[in-house]
Formats: sequence, C-alpha cells, structure tokens
Amino acid sequence: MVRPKTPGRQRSDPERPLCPQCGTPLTEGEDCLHCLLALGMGLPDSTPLDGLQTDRYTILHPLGQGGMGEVFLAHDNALDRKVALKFLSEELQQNPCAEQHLLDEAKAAAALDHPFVCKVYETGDLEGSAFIAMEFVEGKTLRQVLNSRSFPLERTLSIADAIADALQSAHRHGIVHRDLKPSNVMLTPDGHIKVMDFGIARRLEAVQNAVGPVVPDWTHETSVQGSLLYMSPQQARGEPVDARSDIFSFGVLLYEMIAGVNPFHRDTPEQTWQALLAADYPPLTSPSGRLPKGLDGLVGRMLAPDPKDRLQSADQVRSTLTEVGSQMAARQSGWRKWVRSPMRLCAMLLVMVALVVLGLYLGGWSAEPPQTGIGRSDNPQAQAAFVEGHRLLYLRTPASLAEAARKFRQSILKDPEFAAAYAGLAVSQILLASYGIRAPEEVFPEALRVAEKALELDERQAMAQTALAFIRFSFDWEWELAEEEFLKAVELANNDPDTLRWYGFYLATQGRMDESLQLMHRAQNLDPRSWLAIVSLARCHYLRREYEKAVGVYQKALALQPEFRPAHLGLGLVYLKQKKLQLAAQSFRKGLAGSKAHELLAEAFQQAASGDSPSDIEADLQALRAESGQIYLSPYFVAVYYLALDQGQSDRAFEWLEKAFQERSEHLVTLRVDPIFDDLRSDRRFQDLVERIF
Amino acid sequence: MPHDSSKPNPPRWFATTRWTIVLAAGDRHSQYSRQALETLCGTYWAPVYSFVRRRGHSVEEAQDLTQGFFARLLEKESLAAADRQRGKFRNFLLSSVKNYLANEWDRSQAQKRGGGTIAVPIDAESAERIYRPDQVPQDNPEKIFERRWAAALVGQVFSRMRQDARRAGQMKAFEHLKGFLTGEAVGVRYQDVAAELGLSEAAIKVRVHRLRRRFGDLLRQEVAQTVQSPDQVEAEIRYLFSAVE
Repeated sequence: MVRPKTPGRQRSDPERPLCPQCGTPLTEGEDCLHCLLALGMGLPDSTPLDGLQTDRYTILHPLGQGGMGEVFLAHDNALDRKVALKFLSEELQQNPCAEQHLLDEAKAAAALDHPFVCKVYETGDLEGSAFIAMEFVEGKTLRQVLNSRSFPLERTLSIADAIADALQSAHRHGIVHRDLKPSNVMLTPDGHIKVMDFGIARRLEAVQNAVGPVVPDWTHETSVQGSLLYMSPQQARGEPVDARSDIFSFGVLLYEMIAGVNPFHRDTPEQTWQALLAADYPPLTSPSGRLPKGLDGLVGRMLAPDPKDRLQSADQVRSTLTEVGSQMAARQSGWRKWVRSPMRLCAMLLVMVALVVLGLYLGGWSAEPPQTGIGRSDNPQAQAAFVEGHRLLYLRTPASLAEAARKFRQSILKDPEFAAAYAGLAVSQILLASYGIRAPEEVFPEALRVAEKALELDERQAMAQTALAFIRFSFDWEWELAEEEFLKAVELANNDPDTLRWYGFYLATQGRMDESLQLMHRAQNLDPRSWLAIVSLARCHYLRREYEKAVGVYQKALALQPEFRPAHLGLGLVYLKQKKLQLAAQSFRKGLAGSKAHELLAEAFQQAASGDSPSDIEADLQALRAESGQIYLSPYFVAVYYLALDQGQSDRAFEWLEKAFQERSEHLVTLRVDPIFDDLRSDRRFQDLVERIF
Repeated sequence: MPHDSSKPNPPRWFATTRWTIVLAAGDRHSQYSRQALETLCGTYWAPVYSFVRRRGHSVEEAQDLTQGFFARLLEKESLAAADRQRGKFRNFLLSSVKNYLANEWDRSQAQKRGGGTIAVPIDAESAERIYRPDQVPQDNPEKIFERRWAAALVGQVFSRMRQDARRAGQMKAFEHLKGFLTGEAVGVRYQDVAAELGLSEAAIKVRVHRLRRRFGDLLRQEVAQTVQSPDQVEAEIRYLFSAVE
C-alpha cells in the first residue's frame, strides 16, 4: 500500500486518533466505520471520476444513483453541451449478455426524438465501464415534487397530456417504456416535462430474466417497492408486455397525482403485488373534493387488470383527457375568468410555488428537543401551545419555525406570565433570521424584547439567557457584553447543546478556534444524533480552514437531514474554497431556495461554475429582493457570488457587503475569520468594514 | 376494481433475505429458516459477546453466556415465542440477549442450556480482541453492541470483497485500493498507485470509484439481510452511521 503523504493524524483526544477523512474518533486497529457506512448511503458525493476526461466527454460530477447504475453530469467536448452519462451497474457489467441487450435497447431508443422524451445520444465505454450518453435534463422528478401531496387538477391534466404525447410517439416507434413512474418523469424549470429512460429501465429486468435468474435487488429501495407500485399486472406476473402495460403504469401515476397516494401502496411488497394482480384499489378521490366528471372513468379504464379491457392506446388517453379538461373548463368558466387576469394568475402561481417550496422542507428526521427551557404553565392551553411550539422549533424548517413562533405567541396570550413561552418566541425569531427566512432587522428587536421579558419573569430562564447572549453578539455586535451573557447562560445550562453551540460559534467569530472546537465537540457528545450539532461542528472546521473535514462533517449532517438548507449553504462555501465550482453550485442550488431572488442567485452560481459568461443579475436581483413578502436573501451570499466569479468582481461584492452591514446580516459576525473573504483582507474597504463591526 | 384474482404465489424474491425467511417461517420453524438464523447469528455473535462483557461478566462467563444464549435462541420454542414486531434483527437480538441475561444470567443455567451444544462457534481470543474494553471506556453496553454490530457488518462486506478479488485474481490491486475506502489513503496520489499496479491513472480512478460503489451495494445487501423490508435498509444504515460516533 502506498502510504499517505499527509502529516500524522491529528488528535483531539490523546486516547483516540481521528479519521483523517471525516474527523471521527477511531478505535485503534479498526477502519473508520463512519466513512465505510457513509459509502452505504452513497457518500461522499464527490468521486475520483470528477474531472476525468474520455475521448469525448469530461465527467463533472454525479447526479444520482438508480437501480440500473449511476448517472453523471458530463460535458460533451465535441458538441460543447452538457450530457448525462448513465453507467451500467457493476452486476450488469459482469453479465456481458445482459449488458449487450441493454445497450442494443438504448440504441433503439436513440431513434426517439420528441420534446417530452429525454434523448438518448449514444453508448460508450470508459476504462471497461459501459455507459449510455443522454440528454441532460434539469429540474426535479415528479416523485420529488409529488411526495405525499396531490397536484392541482389543472396542472395534473396538463402533465398527463404531455406524458400521453410522449407515450404516443414512443409507441408509434414500437418502443415501450416498461417502467413509467414518477421518478422517471422530470419537471423542468420552464414547466415542461421529460419522460426519462424510455425502453431502458425495465428492460434490465427483462434481459436478466432472459439470460439468468431474477436477482432480487434490495439494495435500492426504489428497485423493488418503487417500481412494483407502478407495474402492470402482466409485468407482475412476468408475462410479455406491450404498449398497454405503459397505459396501466400511466393510470397509476395519474391516480397518484390526483389523489396524492399510490393506489397500490400496501404494508409489504407482497401485499402490493397481490393488489396489483387484482387491480384492487380504493375509489379515486381528490383531497380538494373536486373530481371532474369523466376523470374517475378514465383512470378506471387505464387500470383495468385485463389488457383487453384497458384503453388500448395513448391516443385514446389523450382524447379522453382533452374531453375531461374541456368539460371542467366549461363548468368553471367563472373561476377561469377570474384567473385569466394575468396579475391574479401570477399571484396564484407564486403562492403555489411558495407552498411547494415550503412543503419540501417538511418532514424528515429531526433532533429531539433538548429539555432546557421547558417550562410549565398552570394554564393547560398555554402549556399545550408551548409544548407544540417547542417541538416545532426543533424541526428547523421555514414553516415549522414560523409556526413555532405562532404557538409561543398563543401560549403567551393564554398565560402572560409564562417565561418559557417568551424565551421560545425569542429563539424562534432568532432562528428565522439565522436561517435566512426573515430579515434580521424585522425580527431581532422583538426577539430582544421578549428575551428580556422572559428573564424579568424568571431570571434563571436558561433559554432566554442564551437567546439574549446571541442577540447581543449577532445583532447588537456588543462583543464583550455578549460573552458575559453567554457565560451566564452556560452557568444556567452547562449541559445544554444549543447553549454550547451558540457560545462556540461566538468564540469562533472572535478567532478563539480551539475553544470553539472544544465546545462544538462537547455539544455533539451531549447530543450525538443531532444534525444541528453536526452542522455547527462542520462550520467550525470551515472557519478553521479544515476543508476536507468540513466536507465530511457537512455530508454527515446532510445524510441525517438532506433538506437542511444551512448545511447545503455551508457546504457550498467549503467547495468554493476548494475551487470545486460545480459542487459548490450544486450545493447552493439546494441551499438557495425559497424565493425568486434565491433561485436567480442559484442559477447565476450554476452559470458561473459551468464557465458560461455570467449574465448581469444585479438589476433583477435588486428588484426581486425588494418584492414584499419574499423570503429573505442575505446580501452576504450575493457578495460571495461576486467573489466567486472568474474575474472576481470585488466592487460589487463590497456593495453587497455594505448592504449586509445596513441590514445587520448575521453572517457578518464571522467577517474577521471567514475564509471566503481572505482575498479581500488587504483591501482598505474591507478593513474599514471590519472596524465598523468589531 | 375488485377483481377475482387467482391468488398465485408471489415471486420468490419477496422473501429472500435471511431475516425475512426467519420471520416468514413463523411457528412453522423449518430447517431452512433455522439455517438462515444460524447464519445471522454466526455473523453477529461478536456484538452479543461484547454486550455481555460490558455488562460486567468475566471472559469465561461471557463465553458461556454467549454460547448459552445462541443455543437458547436457536431452540424452536424460544424463537417462536420471540417478539418479532420490532422488524429488525439487530433489535431482536439485543432485546433477546437482554431478556436472556435478566432471566438466565446464572452460569450453571447457561451451561445447562448451552453446554455440549455449540450453536455458534466463538473464538475466545478473537472475541476479546474484538471487544477491546480499553478503547471506548465511556460506552455503555448498548453502545458497544451497536458499534460491534457496525464493525461486524463492515467486516462481512470486506470478506465478500476479498473473496471476489481472490476469485478474479485481483488481490494485489484490492489491497492497494482498499485504503481509498477507509480514509487510510487520504493524501495518496492516484498516479503513485497507478505506477505500482502498472495501470493508467484514469483506470485507477475508475477502479476506486467502482470499489466504493461496490462496497456501498454490498453493505446495503448485508443490511437487507437483517431487516424486514427494503425501505428499512437506508434507515438502518443511517441509524448505525450516527451510532458509531
């Protein structure tokens, strides 16, 4: 084995060495279990293939992993365009016969040329690994957007019409999809759809059947349950399929878009399989209670268990969809007239987009709320609202934080002497600003007022004391006073992970990195499964310029809470420092969400990372930020964007840093230590800014 | 809608992991399901041994108790009566050993049940080496159990990868590239490994990438052997991931 050229492992604890890759304490003589288990979760998201060149393509980064193999974003050097390279799975490559069948099928699919079908370009080989080159489609899968919710009927019908159009074209070419399901339908940013993997995905199973026994693949959940939920009865029985099999799968998908649930979802794959064969599903209903005449009948005919009783072609589905749409439109003409006003339509769409975006943050694993700050009111309603607010606070999503604040207000109304409710309200306000949901100046003044009120009612209210310390430091920029308040908080809640993390963050902004790291580790040890503690530790590594460690720790947090925006943003900053622009842009795309301004900035990062000449976003960004009711976009990230550009536009960066100063952006508290500004430190304007803050 | 189904048997791949075979057998405990359970116990005896040791039993007691526990577990009646509602083999094994220690801690009882029947062979020397009480003195028995569980899982994957490499005549390459899985090779340059193995740098990168993916796939397959349904695989890995801090 070639030995590493890096210096010896660092030790935070003399008894246990740390993993050089992720920083986790190791047991001597044992491999890093953390790194190895991470591989089972598809981490790290960078691979040795990033940047690798073939004759024609430069591989950029992985896009995802499916049952069939792994997909990478690549640049087609010959035609100067982005493409997706789908590498066939290891198991498939070990079966040359199956591999060849699949590649032949891909070549047949390459004949398809339709605006709603993802185009297959060619097949190729990289150092013995076969791949299929196909159109790169940006956007989200229908699965991602659909999760646990139904679609508005109008949108459902328009998506269904586009899918029917794609199927119609493919079936005319004699190509059957075989695996139509929400994760194979992409919704592009411009509102179109693309059906992916025509003729390829399910073909895999067919060729495996032909050349050997069916090998159960339990390694990817989607391979069994995910596909099974959309299989036609013929497929489930292992019989040959034709276009009518796609009609059945399409029926399942349509049902799910309307009802918000899959008709065949059962507790086990076996029960699902039985339900599919019997076409046993609950009657179609829409959560809105609105079900246009004819839609139920259409879905029923698509889901007929016997192919002979089913609608026979995608053409028939399309014409029925058109009828349903027209009848619905006729009955709702009054409503349509209202919507026809462009301003109203625009407003409605914005609300819908905002709801979808906010909804995406809901759910997921969450840390258990620590018990610090738990108070008790004699008023049962005040107590109930407080407990609910406390629970919501620790979900850390935009929606839950806003709702938590509402609950704490309710609690205060019921019991105006309830100190813990005031403290909860202060913390929720702080977090709304810290996570970039509300502008600091909108929330901090109230946060200060209620934190002080809490302490007036109960001077030992630890959560309020921590909140007060955080406000002194993060908003008031009263550094010495802040530390005094933090020390009081630590005295009150020496074992509270939040208090330790926040104080640790304060110490990092003061350049006291070792003390900070120590506290972050302690916070994590107190609450080892909290992604919040992990994110704080990652940020600490970033500020210490330990980028590899920071990446590993951020990824660890994201493995636990994939939608946590601050972790994506933090990871983006680390990647920027590592000059991994594509990965940075990818992280910013996940982290910068919630408003048009966020999306514009994320898009600009992507453009800059792709090497395209960046468009001037300044005017649009200013206008979008000024729109009322928008989720707050910190000027800090705009400044970071200008610094990340190839030629580094420091003048613009300073303009936005000045805005950040005016708006008292929390991110400025790290100004003296934030690596992202290292190139600006000698600039007089930067020094002036530092002097005004510290 | 409701349709007269002929109720054919589902494809065999609905119940092909070891733990689902054990669970599917229910009271009709067969030789087949017993073998599946034996294999699982053979893979995960070390976490049980370490748990017992951390509960304060001496080396000898722990060996006897672990043997006795597995002998009892593999008895037909014991398994049939076991609580299988928890879904995962790890939970089942941990709660079973806790119950066993609570009720059967007496060494003579253990010998009575386990004596003479070696249900799961335990190598005393390696058991102590794996236990390593000095390494994580602050860990409680449950934590030790989880840590050893993750280690057993990972060990199983490495063992399969070594077998594959040996079969393909690729042991030398495997030994060189293994460090890229574990973090041991941080700082090692691909070009240096390429020179040692007489391959191009690109070929090494592709191999490392494939090795990582292969490890991930095998890990998921191994975890799948211990859970009740595919959608528990990811959650189980995440659980272990956060448990090995």
